[in-house]
Amino acid sequence: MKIPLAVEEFYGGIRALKSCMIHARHVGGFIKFIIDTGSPHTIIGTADASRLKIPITSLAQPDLEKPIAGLNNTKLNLKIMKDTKLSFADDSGKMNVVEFPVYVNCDVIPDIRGQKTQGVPSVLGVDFLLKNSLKLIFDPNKKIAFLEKD
Amino acid sequence: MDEDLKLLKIFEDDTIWLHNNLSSLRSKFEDNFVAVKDKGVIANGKEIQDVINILEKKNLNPSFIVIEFVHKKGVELIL
Repeated sequence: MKIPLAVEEFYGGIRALKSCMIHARHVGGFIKFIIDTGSPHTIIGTADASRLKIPITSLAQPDLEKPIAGLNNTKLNLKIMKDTKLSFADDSGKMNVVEFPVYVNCDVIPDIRGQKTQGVPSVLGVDFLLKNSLKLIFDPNKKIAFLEKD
Repeated sequence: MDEDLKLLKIFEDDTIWLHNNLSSLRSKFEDNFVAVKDKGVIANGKEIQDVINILEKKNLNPSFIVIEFVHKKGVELIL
């Protein structure tokens, strides 16, 4: 099975992107993820959390014994959305559904030195690849990317 | 499920349209959030909540619509 990815110029870099349907308790909609092999976890970004109206006050706190920090030891305000279902199309046009917990970035979208910012984007992390036994093929030169299951 | 697939494809097409047209959108919407539907901008605002409010006034559900920040030229996001 192959899962085609879009390869687009996005925020100054060529990135592999995947749009999915997302369903969880009181949450339903579409979301675009950046495929991020640098992130062990799938995280819904600040703008998407607002757009999808995720009820962040009712989400579970992450395991405090395994704190998650960003680069440069940045503190991340994350919560867990359990029983999240992501639906995505494969190359045959069939919808696939995966259920697993995802993190939600609960920070507000910051201004930096008075400038508006985009907030943190949503990323599909390595947990998604592990959960589905997928490998990532990414050729930014030819703008080709897909996920593949052997 | 077929309907879901069709709607997801439209969302994906709107996302790609936005990325491909970012340069031309920048002149009008730089440092704004924009909502894109059917390959056109249907709302914009300095804060994402402003855009969400405009969509809801139009009886549109923001959860199913592309909303993206139009950043300045040259901005690189390092994850």
